[in-house]
Amino acid sequence: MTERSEELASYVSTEVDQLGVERIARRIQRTMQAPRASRPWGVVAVGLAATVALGLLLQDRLPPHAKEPALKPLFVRTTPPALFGSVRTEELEDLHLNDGSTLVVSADTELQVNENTGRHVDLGLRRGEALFDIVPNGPRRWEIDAGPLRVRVLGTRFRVVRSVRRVEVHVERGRVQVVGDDVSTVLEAGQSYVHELQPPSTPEPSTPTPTPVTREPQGPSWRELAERGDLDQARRVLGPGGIVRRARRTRSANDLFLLADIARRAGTAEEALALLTQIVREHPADPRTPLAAFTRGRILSDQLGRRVEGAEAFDRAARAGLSPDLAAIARRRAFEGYRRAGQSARARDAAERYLDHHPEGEAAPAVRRWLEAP
Amino acid sequence: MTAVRRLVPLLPRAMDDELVRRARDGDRTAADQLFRQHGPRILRLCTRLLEHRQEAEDLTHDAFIKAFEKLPTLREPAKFEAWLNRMVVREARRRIRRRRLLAKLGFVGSWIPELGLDELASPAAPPDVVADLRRVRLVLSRVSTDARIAWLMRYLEGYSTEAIAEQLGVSRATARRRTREAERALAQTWAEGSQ
Repeated sequence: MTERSEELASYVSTEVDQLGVERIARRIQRTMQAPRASRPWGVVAVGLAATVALGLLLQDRLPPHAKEPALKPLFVRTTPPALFGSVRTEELEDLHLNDGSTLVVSADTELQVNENTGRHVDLGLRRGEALFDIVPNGPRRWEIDAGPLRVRVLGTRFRVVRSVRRVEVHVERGRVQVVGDDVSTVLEAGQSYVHELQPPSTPEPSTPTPTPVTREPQGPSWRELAERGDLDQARRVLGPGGIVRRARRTRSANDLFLLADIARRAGTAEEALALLTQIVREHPADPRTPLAAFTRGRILSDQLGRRVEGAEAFDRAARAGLSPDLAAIARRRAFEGYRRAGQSARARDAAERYLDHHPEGEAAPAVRRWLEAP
Repeated sequence: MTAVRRLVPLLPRAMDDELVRRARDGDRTAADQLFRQHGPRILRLCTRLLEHRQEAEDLTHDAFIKAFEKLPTLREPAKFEAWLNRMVVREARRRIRRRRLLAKLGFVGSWIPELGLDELASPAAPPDVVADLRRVRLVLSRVSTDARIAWLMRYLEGYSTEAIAEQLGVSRATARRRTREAERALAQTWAEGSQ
């Protein structure tokens, strides 16, 4: 155990945020210069200011990592992370794995994990439908056992559907090998393979037009309604307290975004905030998460009047990978939030960050004027 | 995987001693030297303890301001580093406990850990190690604050049991017990993961 802790700890960066060190040096300097009868540090503050420029910084180095660690089983990116295991779904589920692969498992599907090691992942599709988006050239060999057919992944994105009547394999990108009792064929992108079970027939590779996969008609769910933009009706289908209940159960970033949209539409800012917070916390790698972080800032500042927290949220959003235009808005709003909340030191830091990143930004002249004001 | 033991940079005692004396006398550069020598390490410690960039900067700033103000009360100038660390660790502990209390009361939107162990993983860390660091982070968020701090100080900062005990203001046996509490929780997680 101790050894394992040491191994993992050795991978934590020892890098120091030198810009942060500089910001703190400037804050200490300002604090020392602030008038306070009991503080005899005016002279020291001048010393700090003088030597900031010298940049006498402690440099830390990353530890060497000579050997590649042993590969481990796959985990689902959830909070807490869960070992990738068998699933039986009642509703559509997105499973984001730690190697970057994604499985979209449709409603009413049973997917069994027969093997999950650093070298081999063997899944059994007992019934239902799943879309596999496998990161190519990974260290693991992926195989899907769909009863009469076995699909060997040669890298990529494909869909497998298994019902009592047939098994279908549709390749969207890359290649897979389909193996059965009387067939062994490689499917390219755009090709499908259908194995009829009743009545028995000889399967043949189809033309490059994939067969559209349809789901059992179930009536519009809250998700379908939300996806088509009918947020009011989606809220009615969810029922009282349904958003919170659903958010607790779901692992899907997509569902959380939809639920947040429904909550925002209904004007329940606290609910929307909690959902966006959950997205930021549980799905940091999702490309939509920076926008969720930005929206958190807007809700906190504009709807809930929590300016400092709003400013902090904008700060985080700017660092999280927003587009340049939105990042400029986020940094400006962080500065304004701190300034309006009377947090001068933090406003100053935010103003400096804005000018560092957007020296030609729309708000740059006003921010400079504010910084230079006595 | 090669385990790389962390070594705490030890500054010459005489240097701290001398800087503290000069800073007490109003030396213009001595206080700055103290910050330059200890500030980066303290910021890194605060970031690991608080998992939050802005809070870590705030705590580092506050700790140095407090330290400079209280320098005249420091009896043994050569022990500046341990004295400063103690101040930082105790304040971090207070803030983490307050945060946990707020979370228990339902103030979930007020704070998001943004720099957990997984986010602090070095670029060389493979995905499965990052996943394990994320698990460590989650497990540590569930053990007691004291156990979490003891584990982080032991494994990330490389402190000995004696140093942890000194900085937490507890006996060596207590420091060891707290580290073990976190280790046990982690061992259980690994065991569950391997089943």
